[in-house]
Amino acid sequence: MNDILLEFKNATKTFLQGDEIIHALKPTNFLIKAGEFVIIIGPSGSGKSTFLTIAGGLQPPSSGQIIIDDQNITDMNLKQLSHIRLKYIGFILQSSNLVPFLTIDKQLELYNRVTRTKIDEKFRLSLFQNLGIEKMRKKYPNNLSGGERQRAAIAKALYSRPEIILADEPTASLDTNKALEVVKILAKETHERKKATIMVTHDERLIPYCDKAYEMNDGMLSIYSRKI
Amino acid sequence: MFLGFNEIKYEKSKFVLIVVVIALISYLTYFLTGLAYGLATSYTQGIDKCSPSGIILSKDSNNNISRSLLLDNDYNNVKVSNKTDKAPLGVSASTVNLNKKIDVALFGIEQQSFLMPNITEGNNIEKSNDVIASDSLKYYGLKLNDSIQLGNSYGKYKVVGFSDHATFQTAPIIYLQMKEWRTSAADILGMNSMKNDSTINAIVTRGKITSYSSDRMSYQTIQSYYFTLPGYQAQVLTFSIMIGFLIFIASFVLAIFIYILTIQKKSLFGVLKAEGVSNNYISRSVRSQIILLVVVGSAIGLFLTFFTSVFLSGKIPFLVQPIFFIGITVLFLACSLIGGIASVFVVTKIDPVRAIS
Repeated sequence: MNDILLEFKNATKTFLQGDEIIHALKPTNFLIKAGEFVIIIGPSGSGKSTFLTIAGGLQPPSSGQIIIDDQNITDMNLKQLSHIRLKYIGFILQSSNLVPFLTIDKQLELYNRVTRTKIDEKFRLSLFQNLGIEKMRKKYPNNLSGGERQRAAIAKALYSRPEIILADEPTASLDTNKALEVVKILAKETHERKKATIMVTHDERLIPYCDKAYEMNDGMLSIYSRKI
Repeated sequence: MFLGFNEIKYEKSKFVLIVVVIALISYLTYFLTGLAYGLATSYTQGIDKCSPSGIILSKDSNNNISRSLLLDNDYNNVKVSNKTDKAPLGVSASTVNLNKKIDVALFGIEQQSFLMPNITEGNNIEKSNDVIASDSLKYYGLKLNDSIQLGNSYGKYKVVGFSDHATFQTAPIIYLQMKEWRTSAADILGMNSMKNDSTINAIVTRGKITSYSSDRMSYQTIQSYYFTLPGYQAQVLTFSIMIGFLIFIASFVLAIFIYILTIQKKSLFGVLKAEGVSNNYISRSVRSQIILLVVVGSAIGLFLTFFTSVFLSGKIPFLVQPIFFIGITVLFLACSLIGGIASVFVVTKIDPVRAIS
């Protein structure tokens, strides 16, 4: 059993904008193991979102390979990729990817509906308790505070028991205290449940909570070098 | 259903309005269809409810039934495969004084013939001055056992029974025994010689005609006869085109309406796609939501239609033809689904990368 959950092998992403070739992701080698919490820091437009969408199987790399749990997903078709996303990946997005018309309880139930499985009530409750939102379960996303919404989004991402969590600026809409709180939870869940979590952010204050930090500049991924 | 139903639950007022729109569109379509069909039927149903297949008129009548004069001899000359498959008919126009003066059609019939109407209330004709009246005359105050005078004829007649769907050229029918009809028709027309004659206006037939004297009489199918009734063809054509366009446009409006409704959720579906939810699941949830909305909407439309028709019954010639209503509902459902599926098709083409960024 290999505990490398996600690997980039010489992956690049280029696209055309007019006549100009944009190197959104320069040749990248990257791997993450179970139980690791990785932060990628970079300004907007640096290519960190491109990195995340390729990692999540939302778009293929222009060259190189992407391996998720020993499966090469580089040349998979849309349907296979969709299945990989559903099974292996939990997304947490900046604007919280919650469905506006579902209560927090039902946000999680949606996964059971899509996969035609039974609700895991014990697991759901334990997630809510760990994240401190068990009182919010009957509420709609609109009636929650920004921090509660992101915690609900984390619960939703964890509920499908994905191996990999991809978080795109999950703290962007939160104040410092709330942001630190959310990141602590994310780190704790990653370690306890042996997930591989990649969080993309531009907030350097979050670095102390991660196991590894990278920075992304103009499509170049490198180990974070600045001292905190 | 999970997504569709929870969305309805969350945005109740929005979906109430949507259902109201669908209900009103279907109400309009159902009701006008029923009206047009009822009006067309009120020309012919008095004859048509006896399910005849053909009619014989005198050759020089130019399809005008009251100008067509046939005699007993002619009747006997018509040969049909079964003796009961031909029936003599006398038709004349008259008036009845109820709470106002009403135009009626007098039908002279033989009691044993298949033109004898069904009785929905009261009894059959027994005495010579017994008549059966169209139940639509009840709305003008006619009651069972009332005594009525037909136009300026001398006799009085007793209403012993009512029959439904009894109109001819939109006028309510009063059924008399053939002999009595001759008397009253003769009185009305001032043709005293007719009283002792064996005059009839038409011979209505069922099944196949084996022979008739074609030099005095002309035979045609009952359907082609209906189209010679004054105004019938023009009316049926006009209404068919009007209703046809109404249904076509209403279906189109529904399809566009549902399309816009679903396409508004494009970004949400994009996020779901990014999370790995299949196109199939999204499309199924859209489909079941549309079916729910259209079924509830048209059920309300149907209820309103029946409610209105009960409320206005007797005052307007409204008639339900289930096949039309089923057809319209199926068409509405189909068009709404096309609109919904078209928007799902747009959603399936969304790049999930764009949806989440």
